[in-house]
Formats: sequence, C-alpha cells, structure tokens
Amino acid sequence: MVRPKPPLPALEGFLGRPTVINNVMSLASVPIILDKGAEFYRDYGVGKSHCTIPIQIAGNVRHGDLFETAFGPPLGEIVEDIGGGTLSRRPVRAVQVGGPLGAYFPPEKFDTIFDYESFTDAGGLIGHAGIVVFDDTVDMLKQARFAFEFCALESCGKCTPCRIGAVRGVEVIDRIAARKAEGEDVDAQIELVSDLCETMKLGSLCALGGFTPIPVVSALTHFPEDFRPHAIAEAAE
Amino acid sequence: MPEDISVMRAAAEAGIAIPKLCANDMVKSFGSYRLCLIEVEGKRGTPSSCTLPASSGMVVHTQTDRLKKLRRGVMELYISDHPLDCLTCAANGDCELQDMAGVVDLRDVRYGYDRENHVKAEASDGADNFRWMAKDESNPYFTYDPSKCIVCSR
Repeated sequence: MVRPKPPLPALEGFLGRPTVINNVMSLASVPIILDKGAEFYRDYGVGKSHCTIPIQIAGNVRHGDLFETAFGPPLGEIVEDIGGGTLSRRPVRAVQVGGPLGAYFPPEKFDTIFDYESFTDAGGLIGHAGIVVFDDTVDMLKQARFAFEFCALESCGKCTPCRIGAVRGVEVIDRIAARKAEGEDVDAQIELVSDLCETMKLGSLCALGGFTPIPVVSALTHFPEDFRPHAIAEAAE
Repeated sequence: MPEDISVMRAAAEAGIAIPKLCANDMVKSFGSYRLCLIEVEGKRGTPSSCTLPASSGMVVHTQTDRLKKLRRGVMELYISDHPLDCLTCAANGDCELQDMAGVVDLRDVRYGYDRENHVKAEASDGADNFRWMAKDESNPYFTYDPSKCIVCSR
C-alpha cells in the first residue's frame, strides 16, 4: 500500500530496509555511460534532459511503433514526421503525452519541445513517453471521463481524494454530458469538476490521484467546446 | 526539539490544533484522511502533518485560504458517501466527523446523493445497491454500521 514519504525509500523502503528504486529507463542508460563516457551521454538531448528517450507512438497514427530519439524535437515533429499523422488521414485534434495521466495537447501546442522542462512548463509531463494520437472525431469530454474512470479502477483506496474523488469525477462528467445533450447550462458542474481536480491534485497521497487532474484540466483548457452545449460554446467563442 | 515527532504533534504541543480524523495517539500515523494537510515554506505541495516529521527551523502554515478550500473539498467528498441522519445518529454530538465538518465549514455537498454510494440499500433505479451492507448488531456492546465507515484504518 502507498505510504507517505518521508521516510524516503532510500532510507526506509522494502521490508523497512534501505531500497534503491530506479525505473527501467535509468538502468538502461548505465551501460552506454560506462561504455562511451558521461560526455557522450550528456551531449545528446537539450537543457537538463539528457540522452535519448524511447517514445511509444500509438492511437490513431500511421506509423505506430517504438522510436528512440534524443530529447529536443518539437512535439509536432514526433506526431507528423515520425508518426506520419493519423491513420484515418483526418486532421490531428489532440495528442496525449506521458501515459493515461498525461496532458492532452492540441496542434496549437505542437511547438512544445520534447523535454522534461518544457512539458512541465506546459502543464504536462513526459512520463513514460507514451504518445496517443486522436483525430478530429475525438470527444474530449469522453477522454476526461476516461481519466477519472482509470483512476477509480486503479485506486488502492487508501486516501479519500483518489478513492471517492475519482468516482465522483466520472459522475460529474456524466452529468455534464447529460446537460450538454439537453442544451442546459453546465457552469456549476464545470466549477465542481475544477474544484475536484484541485482537491485531487493537492490532497491525494500519491501520483495516481495527484496526476488524474492533468488530462482532465488539459481537456477543459484546450477543448472547452466539448464540455458545453453547442449554442453556448459558440456564444463563448 | 525532540526527535521523531510529527508536525501535527509538534503543533499540538504548541497549542495549535490541526484538523484531523485518522490520526490518533494510540496508533501509528497512516495518512489516509487528508484533512491535516499543511504548507511548509520552501516546499512544494501540501503534505499531511500527521506523517511529516517536524524539524528545527521548519516554517509551517496550518491555516491558509488554499488549505481551507482543500480541507473543505476533501470533507465534501467524504460526506458525499455518508448518511445524513446526524440528528437521529447514536454518535450525534460525540462524532469527530461531525466536528470536523464544522471546523472546515462544510455547507453544501454539490455531488448529490443519487449515484454510487455505500449509504442506501437501493440504487436510484430501485435495484439492490451491491455496495451497501446491513448493520452488524450481533455484539451486545457494539453496533457496526458499514455505511458510516470512513475507512480511516484506525
């Protein structure tokens, strides 16, 4: 079960003993550093994001696959040049970067440089560098629902913001969908989902509940029209 | 300052009560309830004060607008899955949950009570609510009502 830190695992981890925790990517970097030296490793990439990153491109994309590249290309280059755009040949509308709890980026943000700092500044994350491409038929309200649904399914249940918050998140999104279909006002529900995201982001014990708001808030920020009835969405533009 | 005490305990000894629910002097801190969140100057985020070790020179804020909103948000979630029968509840007036709902100034539960819950025997469509469990009154001294459990793991 998740526990608060400190104590950090390096001091007190598995079975109460000091424990080293590294992800596979960090460990996979070790041989090349030992073989070719620190400078070789450091000189790939940009800023503080060194060396290369294995990117998994999936979703509605022509060349879905695993690609390794140095940090630094703009997101658009990865989606359009490496990924080859959508498989459906329709325009790209959204790209989720970092995994199920990563932010959604619209094409207007395709100049975001693929490195840790730029993605953090843009309200997103590199995460495990999974990229999922969506064309213009995507419903971002459904994608926001998926984030809460995923969190509810994965939640260990220990802390309140994640355990109850994720379930209520799905419900509020469903209420927005129902009101949207009837052409009713959704302001109060959008305020509620925004407050819920704040509670989950700051109140959760671990990154599962803490990061669930990232896809939701990015969908709300970049694709507000999907959350509102058509007439109201047009008036707001 | 003594070694190995939590920010919550250090605050209590200084006469500052941080809102809390799962923390109890008789058990090891668990950090599930997320009501005792605080801010520490120079640190990001809002850690739980029951699990955070106090250290010398630490500057802690226990009441800020952000914390107030956060605590109310957490309490709103809790009460969204709790019976509203306070007036007829055996614990009325001697209930930490009720006290804390007052402390964080919870006025309104915006999530409604018509969806997923452990409170009602029937779902809104009249079907059996599989999450609901009946009271256990088999013990002459205790009644266990699962619908009122807040999963604090105490």
